[in-house]
Amino acid sequence: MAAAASSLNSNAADHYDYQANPATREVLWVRWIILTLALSFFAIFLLLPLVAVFFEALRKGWDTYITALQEPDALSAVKLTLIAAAISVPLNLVFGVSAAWAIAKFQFRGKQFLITLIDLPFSVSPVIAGLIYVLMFGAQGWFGPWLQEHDIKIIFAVPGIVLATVFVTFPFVARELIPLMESQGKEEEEAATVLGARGWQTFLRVTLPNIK
Amino acid sequence: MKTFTKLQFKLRTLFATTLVGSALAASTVLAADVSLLNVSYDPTRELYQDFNKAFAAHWKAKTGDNVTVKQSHGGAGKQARAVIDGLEADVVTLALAYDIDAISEKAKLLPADWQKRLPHNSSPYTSTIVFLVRKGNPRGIKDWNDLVKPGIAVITPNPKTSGGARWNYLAAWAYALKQPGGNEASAKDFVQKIFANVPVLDSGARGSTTTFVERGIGDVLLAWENEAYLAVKELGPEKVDIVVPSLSILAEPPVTLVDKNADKHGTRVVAEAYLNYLYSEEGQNIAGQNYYRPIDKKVAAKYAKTFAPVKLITIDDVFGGWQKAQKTHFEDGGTFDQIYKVK
Amino acid sequence: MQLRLKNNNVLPGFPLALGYTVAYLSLIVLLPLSAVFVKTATLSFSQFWDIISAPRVVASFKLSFGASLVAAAINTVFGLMLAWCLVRYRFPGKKLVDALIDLPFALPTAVAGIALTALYAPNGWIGSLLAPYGIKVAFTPLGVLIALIFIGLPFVVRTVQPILEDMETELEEAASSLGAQRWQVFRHVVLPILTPALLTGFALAFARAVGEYGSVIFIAGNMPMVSEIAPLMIITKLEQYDYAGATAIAVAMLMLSFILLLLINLLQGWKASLQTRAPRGPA
Repeated sequence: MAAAASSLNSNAADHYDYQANPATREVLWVRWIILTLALSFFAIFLLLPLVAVFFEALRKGWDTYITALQEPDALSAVKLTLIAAAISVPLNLVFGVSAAWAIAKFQFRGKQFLITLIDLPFSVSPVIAGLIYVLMFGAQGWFGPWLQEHDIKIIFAVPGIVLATVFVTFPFVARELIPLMESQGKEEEEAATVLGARGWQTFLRVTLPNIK
Repeated sequence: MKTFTKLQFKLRTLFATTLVGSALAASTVLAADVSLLNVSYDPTRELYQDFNKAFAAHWKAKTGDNVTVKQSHGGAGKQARAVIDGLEADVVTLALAYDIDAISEKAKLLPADWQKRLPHNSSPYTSTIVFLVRKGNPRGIKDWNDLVKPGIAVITPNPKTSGGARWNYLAAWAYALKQPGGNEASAKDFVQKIFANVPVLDSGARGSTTTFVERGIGDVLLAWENEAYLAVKELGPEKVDIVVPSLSILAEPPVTLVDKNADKHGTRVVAEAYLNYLYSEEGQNIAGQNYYRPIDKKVAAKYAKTFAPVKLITIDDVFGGWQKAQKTHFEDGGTFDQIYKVK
Repeated sequence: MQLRLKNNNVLPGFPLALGYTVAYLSLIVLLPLSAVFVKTATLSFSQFWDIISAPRVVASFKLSFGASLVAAAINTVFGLMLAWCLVRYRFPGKKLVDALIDLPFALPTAVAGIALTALYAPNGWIGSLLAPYGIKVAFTPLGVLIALIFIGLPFVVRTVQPILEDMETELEEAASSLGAQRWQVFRHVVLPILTPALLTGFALAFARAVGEYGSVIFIAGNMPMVSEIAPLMIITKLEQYDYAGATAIAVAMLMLSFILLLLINLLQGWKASLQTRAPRGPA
C-alpha cells in the first residue's frame, strides 16, 4: 500500500526534471558518484539476496515449489495470510490516519513519547509478540481458562494470527504518514477551516487527497 | 471492526454447520469423518506422511469411517509448548520424554505415568545418533574421539534449542564416560573439546543438515540416524557417507494420547487405535522404511542390513532419566553452559 | 502523560483523533505488552537481575543492539542516497529499483535468512569471493549485520522519499540565486528539511533490526558469547519452560529499545521544531 502510494508519487515527480533546473542540479561527476554508490549498495545488499532467493527456489525446482503451493496446508496458509491482511490493513489504516492527524497537525506534550509507543511494536521481536499472546490467551494464560470454557480459540487459530498481524503491522501507516503530513504543514487545512469548512469536510477534501 | 465480526460470524456458522453435519452423519450410521491432530517434531515428517495414509486405509477397512490425520511439525520443545498453551493435539509424537513430561506437568492434559501406557516406554520405534561425513571420509573419522582432533569441524545444532542436539551431546558424554578411567570430569573435558570444534550452532536439526550439506561447512555432522539416511537418499551416495561410532545412544522418541484433548473431541478410540497401529506389523514396517529402528524383532530383522550394529546406551542407565539429564546438562548453569564459560 | 494544546489551533478533531489513537494503542499494544511485565513481576528483582546480567545474555544484547545501530546508520546514509537517486535522477531500471526496495519487507524472514546464508557462506557467491582473504561473513557477527542491513533499508528509503518528492524547489532556487554553492544548498537547505525523516527512518530501521529473528538466525551461527542474538536467548529460556525468565529478557529488550527510540524521537522532534520555526516564521 505504501509502495503503491510512493510509486504514484514518484510518477508525479517524474514529470519534473530536477537536472534541468540549475538550482537543483548536481555536477555530472557528483551525480555519477552518488548513483554508483547508491546502486552498488542496492545491488550488493538488496538485489543479490533477492536473486539468491529466486535461485534457491529454482534449484529445488519449480515443481516442488508448485506442489508445495498446492498442498492444502500451504493453501490455507496463504488464505490465512490474506484474511489477516484484509482485517489488519483497514484497522491500521484508520489508526494511522487518526494518529498522524493528531501528531502532525497539533502540538502537545508527550508527543514524542506517544510516537515512541507507536514505534515500539516494530522493535518487538516476533518471538516476544508470540509470547505475549500465549501469556494472554494461551491455555495457561490470563484468559485461557475462560476461553476454553466457552470453546473460543484465539491462538493456534485465525483470531490469533489476525491479532499478531495487526500488532506487527501496527506502526506502518502512522509512521509513513506522520512525516508526510508534517512536511505538508497545516496551512491548507487552516485556510479551509477559516473559510468555513466543517471538520470532516476539511479532512476529506483537503487532507485525504494530499496523503493518498 | 466490522470485518472482524463478520468473519467471526462466518466462522461460527461454519462451525455450526460442521457440527450439524457430523451429527447428521452419526445418526444415519453412515461413514463418519474423524479428524486427529498429531503434534510431532521435525524429522518425523516423512514417516507420518506414510503412516497416516496407511492408518486411514486400515481404519476405513475396519470401521468404515474416514479418518484424516493432521500433522504439525517443528522443534520438539516448541511443539510441546504449543500443546501446553492450547494447541489441541489428540496425540503427540515427540523427540524426548522430557517434553511430554512437561505437557503432563504444566498443563495436566495427561497422567504423569503416561510412559507406562504403551509397550517399550511408549516408543514404537527407536533411533540413534550417527556421523555424516563427506564422501570417502577424507578426514578419516571413525569414532567420537576423532571429533576432538584439532582442525576437525563438527556440525551439531544447539542443545539449548534442539532436542536432537541434546541426544548428540549426551552420546558424546556417554562415550567419554565409558572410556577406561572415564569419569564426569573427563567426560566434560571431552565434550568441551568437541564443542571447541563446532563453528556453527544452528537452532534445529534441519538447519544443521542444511549447513553441512548445502553450505559445505564442517567435516562431520552429528545427526539422527534417520536424518542421515534421508540425506544420503536425497543427495545420492556419491556425496556423503554415514559413519557409525563404536558407541551411541538409544533414542526413544515417545508417543502418547493427550487424554483431555481427545476426550473433548470424542476421539479417544480412534486416537488410541492410531497409536497402537504404530506397533502393528505394518506400522513397524513403515518405521523401518523411514529409517527408524522398529522395536518388533521380526520386522527389525528385515531391516537389519540397513542398521549397523552399534552398542547403544540408554538415558535411564547412564544419566538417570531425562529429568535429571536436562537439569544437569542443559538448564541454565548446566554443563553445556559451563563448557562455554571456561573458554 | 499530560496532554495540553500549546497553541491556539483552529483545526478541529484533536480530541477525537488523539482519543482514538490512545485507545487503539492501549488495546493493541500496551495491554498485550503488559503481559510480559506482569509475568516478570513474579520474579524478585535479584532474580530478574541475575537473568539479564548473565554473561551470555549481556553478550547477546551487545550484539543485537550494537549491530542494529550500525545497520541503521549504514542504511540511513545509503537509504538517503537511494531515495535521492529515485527522486532526483533519471536512470535505466529506476522503476525496477523502486519496486524492489519494498521486497525485504514482503519476503518471509526465514526465506531471506536462508538466501543470505547461501550467499555469504564460504561456498556462496559472495562468501567464496571473500574467503581467500580470510573474511568470514556467514556465521559471524558480520553476517548478523548484513541481514539487518537487508531488512532495514526499505524503512529509510520509504520515509525519506515522500519528503523529497514533496519538497518545493523554490527554497533551493532562492538559495542558489543568493549565490550558495550546490553543496552549501544541500548542507544548509535540503538536509535540515530531510533530517526529521532521516531520523524517523533510522529509528524504524533500528527498531525493526533489534527484534528481527527469522532472517538473522540462519546466518548468525548462534555461537554462545559471540553470535547469539537477544531473541534467541528468549527462545532458549522458553525451551526450558522458563516463561518468567523469557519475559525477563523480553522486558529488558523492550525497555532498552523504548529508551533508545525515545531518544531518537526526541531528537527528531527537536530538529523538526527548529525547521518549522526557522523558514516558516515571519522574518
